[in-house]
Amino acid sequence: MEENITLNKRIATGIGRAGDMLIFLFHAFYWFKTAFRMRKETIAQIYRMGVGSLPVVSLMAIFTGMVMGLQAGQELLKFQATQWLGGIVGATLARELGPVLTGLIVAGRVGASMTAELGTMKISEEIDALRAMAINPIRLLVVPRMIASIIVLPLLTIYTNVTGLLGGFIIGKAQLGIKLFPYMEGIAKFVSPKDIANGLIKSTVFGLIMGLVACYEGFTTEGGARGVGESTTRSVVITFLLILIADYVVTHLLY
Amino acid sequence: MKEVVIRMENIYKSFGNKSVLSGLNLEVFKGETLVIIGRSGCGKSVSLKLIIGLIRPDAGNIQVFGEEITHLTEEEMERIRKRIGVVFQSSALLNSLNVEENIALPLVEHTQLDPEEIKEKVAEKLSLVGLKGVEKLYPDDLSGGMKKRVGIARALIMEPEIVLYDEPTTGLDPITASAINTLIMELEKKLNTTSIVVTHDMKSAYLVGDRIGLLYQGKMVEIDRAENIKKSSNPLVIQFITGSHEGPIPVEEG
Ligand SMILES: Nc1ncnc2c1ncn2[C@@H]1O[C@H](COP(=O)(O)OP(=O)(O)OP(=O)(O)O)[C@@H](O)[C@H]1O
Ligand SMILES: [Mg+2]
Repeated sequence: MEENITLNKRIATGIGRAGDMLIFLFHAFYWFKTAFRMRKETIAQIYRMGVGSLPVVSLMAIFTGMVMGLQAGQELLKFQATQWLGGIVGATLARELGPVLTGLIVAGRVGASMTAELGTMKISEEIDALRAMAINPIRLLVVPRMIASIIVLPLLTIYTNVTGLLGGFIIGKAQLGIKLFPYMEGIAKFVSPKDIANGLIKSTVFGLIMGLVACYEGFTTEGGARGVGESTTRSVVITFLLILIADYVVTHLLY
Repeated sequence: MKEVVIRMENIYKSFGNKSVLSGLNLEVFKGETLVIIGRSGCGKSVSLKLIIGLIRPDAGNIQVFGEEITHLTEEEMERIRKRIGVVFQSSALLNSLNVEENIALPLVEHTQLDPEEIKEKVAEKLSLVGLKGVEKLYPDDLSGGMKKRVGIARALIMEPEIVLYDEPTTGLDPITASAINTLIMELEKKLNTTSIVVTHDMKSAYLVGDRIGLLYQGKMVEIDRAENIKKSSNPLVIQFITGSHEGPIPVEEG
């Protein structure tokens, strides 16, 4: 019985927070009207998120491409169809792995640090101080971060796709002796513009999710340093789950 | 009749099941300095935050500049907030900005002044609080007392009609504290600024306060001219201003 009550309470707060997050999203969208005014700060955020993520995204992408090259290559060899390798690696990356892996890894890095930063500002009353100075904290802090997230994820996804293809080719060449031209031809044959576009739509949605969750969790942080730790963890977990759910939903809608 | 610039009527505010304010009434007159004293945790900071609409009361009315603010939206509230300066107890400087950028922020956001004019104004306010050559330092590099003074400079940068000081001299050395007290009094004299000062320091309370109010158990139990507070026969007031652990206020209550 007791457990039921705490469970019900947790479900209720969960639903409550989901509703709050939606309201937060509408506020943020409303303040997107100031996007042009906030361009300097937005560019700074894009630079910080994008350039800062390059090393980890590069590693992730090259190894993902290599693993795919290895696995798909062995199978294709059985059918004497190694010229398809580029197509298979390319299509998998463009449609699915590129956006999802990039989304997850960037959320773990950038989303977490955004929440920690904003959460610290919240508990040290910096956000209250902004409000007291008649400066809207959503405009000043959330608009640049959310817009930057929405722009950065698709860009990094393109980068992941290219780097992953390179990883696939390295393995294909080393293990199966595939040449560059057939590899490229395979890509051209299998990866349609629609695949690329859909992957970018996905990563845009993931960027929105990451920016929203990270900013919302930061802005609702309470309870000192421990609270910052808790909201940072929550931000990453919720972003991961929402990205995986959104991946299914968007795929369903697009194909 | 003196003009009332802040009026709080029958204010109730709880956090969870903890009641902080229960029936608070307060009037602040134009051009006066009102000092609020009270135990730690009695709701002084909460009262100041209610006045600028950072938190909303559970019940009761708040009028600032004659306008009811309890039903204003965040955007409508900005009109009022631009006319009020706030010194936070925690200073609440933006950690990612240096001292100069911190103080300049309201000017950058709300005015069309060019960078040279802004620089000048910032330097002027810094010298007002007795700081020099700290423009490029970041809040993390400042002592607690310096942060407080930067917080005061920031609160004054828009030349507000009302200034709310949350413990402006706590943590300052006696010399700087005295300079801040003089500053508060001068603003009142020269610019007819209305101030509310929350303090635990009775010496500065008598010095800067035209009136002093004691907040206790969610209400103003006594509010009067400073000289009358000194002579008060209210045992709560006597215990507080003499700083005794014996009397009607129990020590362990919070
Ligand atoms: N945002 C909040 N959430 C929950 N409780 C709060 C919040 N703000 C204040 N309180 C509680 O309200 C009470 C009054 O707090 P307040 O900060 O106004 O005290 P104070 O009179 O300023 O004390 P001090 O002299 O120590 O600064 C405290 O018990 C505090 O825990
Ligand atoms: Mg306080």
